[in-house]
Amino acid sequence: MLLQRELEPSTGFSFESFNSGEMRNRGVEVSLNLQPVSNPDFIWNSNINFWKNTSKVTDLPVPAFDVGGFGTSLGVYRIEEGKSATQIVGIDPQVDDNGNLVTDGSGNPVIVNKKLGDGEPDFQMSFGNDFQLFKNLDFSFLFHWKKGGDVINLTELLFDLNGTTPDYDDTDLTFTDFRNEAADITDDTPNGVKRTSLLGVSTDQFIQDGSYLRLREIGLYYSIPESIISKISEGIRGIRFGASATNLITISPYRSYDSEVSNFGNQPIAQGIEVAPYPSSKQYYFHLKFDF
Amino acid sequence: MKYLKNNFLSYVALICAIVVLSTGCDILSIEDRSDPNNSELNQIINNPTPSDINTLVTGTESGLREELRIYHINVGMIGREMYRFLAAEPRNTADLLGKGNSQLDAGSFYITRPWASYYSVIRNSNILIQAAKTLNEDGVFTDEEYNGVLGFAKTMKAYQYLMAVTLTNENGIRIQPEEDFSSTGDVLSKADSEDLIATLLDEAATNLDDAGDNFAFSLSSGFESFNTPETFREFNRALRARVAVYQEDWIGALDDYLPESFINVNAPLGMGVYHVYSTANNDMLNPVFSDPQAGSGDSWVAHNSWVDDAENNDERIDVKVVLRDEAASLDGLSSDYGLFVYQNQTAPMPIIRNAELILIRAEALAQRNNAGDLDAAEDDLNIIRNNAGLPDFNRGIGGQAEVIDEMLNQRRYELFFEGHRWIDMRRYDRLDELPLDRTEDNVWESFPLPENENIGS
Repeated sequence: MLLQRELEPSTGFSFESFNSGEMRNRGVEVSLNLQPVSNPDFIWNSNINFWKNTSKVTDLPVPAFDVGGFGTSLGVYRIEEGKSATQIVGIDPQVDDNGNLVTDGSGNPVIVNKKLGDGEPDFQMSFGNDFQLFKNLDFSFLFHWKKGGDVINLTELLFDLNGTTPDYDDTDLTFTDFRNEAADITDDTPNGVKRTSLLGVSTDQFIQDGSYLRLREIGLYYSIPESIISKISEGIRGIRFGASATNLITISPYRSYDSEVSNFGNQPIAQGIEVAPYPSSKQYYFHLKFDF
Repeated sequence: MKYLKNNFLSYVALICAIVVLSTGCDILSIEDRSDPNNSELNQIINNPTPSDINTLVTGTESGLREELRIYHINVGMIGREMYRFLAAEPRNTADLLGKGNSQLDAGSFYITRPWASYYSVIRNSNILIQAAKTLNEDGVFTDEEYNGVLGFAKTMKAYQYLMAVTLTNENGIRIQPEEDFSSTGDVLSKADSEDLIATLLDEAATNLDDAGDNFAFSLSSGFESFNTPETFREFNRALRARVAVYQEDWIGALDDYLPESFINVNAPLGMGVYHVYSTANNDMLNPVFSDPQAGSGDSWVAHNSWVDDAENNDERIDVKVVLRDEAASLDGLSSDYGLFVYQNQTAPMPIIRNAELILIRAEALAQRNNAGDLDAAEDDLNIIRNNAGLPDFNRGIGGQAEVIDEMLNQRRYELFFEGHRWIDMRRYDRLDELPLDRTEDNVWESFPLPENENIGS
């Protein structure tokens, strides 16, 4: 692996680029193309893709280091031997073997670093379909399903701090007992207060499931039959018009605008860090095409 | 013929394959080469020019200013002098003030960034020392010129170690090896850290004694009147006096360090050494200057207690804060006063100035408490007070404790938002006297060492 790692800053240097360490990626990609119906008046093409990947840093000759994020208390991606390359590490109260909160001598919770999530999705699927009706009418759509893959949602934190989160006064969000205890909250505390009370105690509230099902593309086109065109003009060989749209529908449990965008761009490791970036836009297109 | 030619080609291919395999990948690898656009470290160490030294000095001085914004937020907020309200950065008002159960995080910017900046200046100084040594050995630099560089570089190192240990306090600092550029050293206790700083400053002072009349390099206007070995040494001794009172070495401060510093009761309190800023290309602007009336979500405001606790007619109040048209509030905190210690974006920021030295002398006198010392301390405090339009302080029937209280009070007002309040209250074990604004807030004593120091792993 070619890596840029943080050095101990007391050396006086911040980063070192080096070629070392090993990483293992295991994944599958399955693609299925179907043509369930094919007759002159109705053609249906369907394309299903499935892919998943898991990575593991198998050898790292240097200590674990962070590659993206705003510091441990707000969640960071950490490269660590034996762990997934996309693990998200944050702070959390320490628990004993029975799951009880560990406190120090003065009764304060002991805060430790631990893995709280992983940016790598469990799997992703896409489902694309093309229909051609009566030779002239085309209809197509593409769904993209991402299952799992955590995102660090700091947008919600900003809304919480200003008291404007949609669910601020609800109480449906619950945390494990030891986190409640460490942050002095109960299940009846309003969601917004729960999350802000956990700031500095745990990072768990920011690390959220980034699953989504998105209608990425949809389009409907009509080609005017040649028999009609030839009557209009001899110069025109074809006329096609229609409408299409992207990102029309998104279904996601994620509690911010868009789990797909990241403040650090779509880079391989530290991608899912979201602090109110612009969400992917919905786009509508109208098409009119002449062939000469 | 065609058959033969193909056969020949396959022999060539086979031989090539054997060559590649038998030599490993070496013939394919790319050698590390020096950066054609910038000076390379080894070049600076082994074959420096006097102009390289000047560049390194300028870079070292400039580097002192990095991350001062974060430093002032850290010490200003924990010392309850001010708030930095930034709606997009909750850690200022949560972590730094110990809101609820939140704690200082070793992986967050407030410690990692200032720390890295100090050690980068220390590395710069260490490189400077090695480069000057080479020039001296090559006969380009005289011993005096070499000593001048040493005096400067060691003073800068000491100052940066001092900044680091003011943040990490009981957690100590790490010593950086001087010659092995890629390594770091042991973690020192707080006492050892302060000893290291004191030793470096003393070594530097000795070097400056033997550095002739002028430096072989130039310093910025922030060192105006302190840019010769003799006057720079006064700055060095001033820092040494600060370290001495941190170490509670009152006698040393009074007898050895203050007399050799630039302390002067007849000079302006602002006389001293500064970080300077400008609007020139690639230079920096004062990082803590801001519009005192700026909107709550991005504002620098004073802690109300600083104004509320002030004596009547203290002229420093109107100079250093501005009454806001609208109170600023964020995260359960509120202030009516915008910070105006720095009144424009190129306002210089003191490293150490005359007022602090006079207050250091007052402190050391009050602590030594020989006959007449309390009166002398009062005289020093009154210089500061009179300058702010306040009448003389008189301990009356009080004694040492009253003088020390007044000394801390004058430090609070005179050195407001210059990074002292938190450290002063900590030194006197009075952090519990700082006002808490929310019921579950805490006052921190020490920052953790940065997580990326990998201590214990």
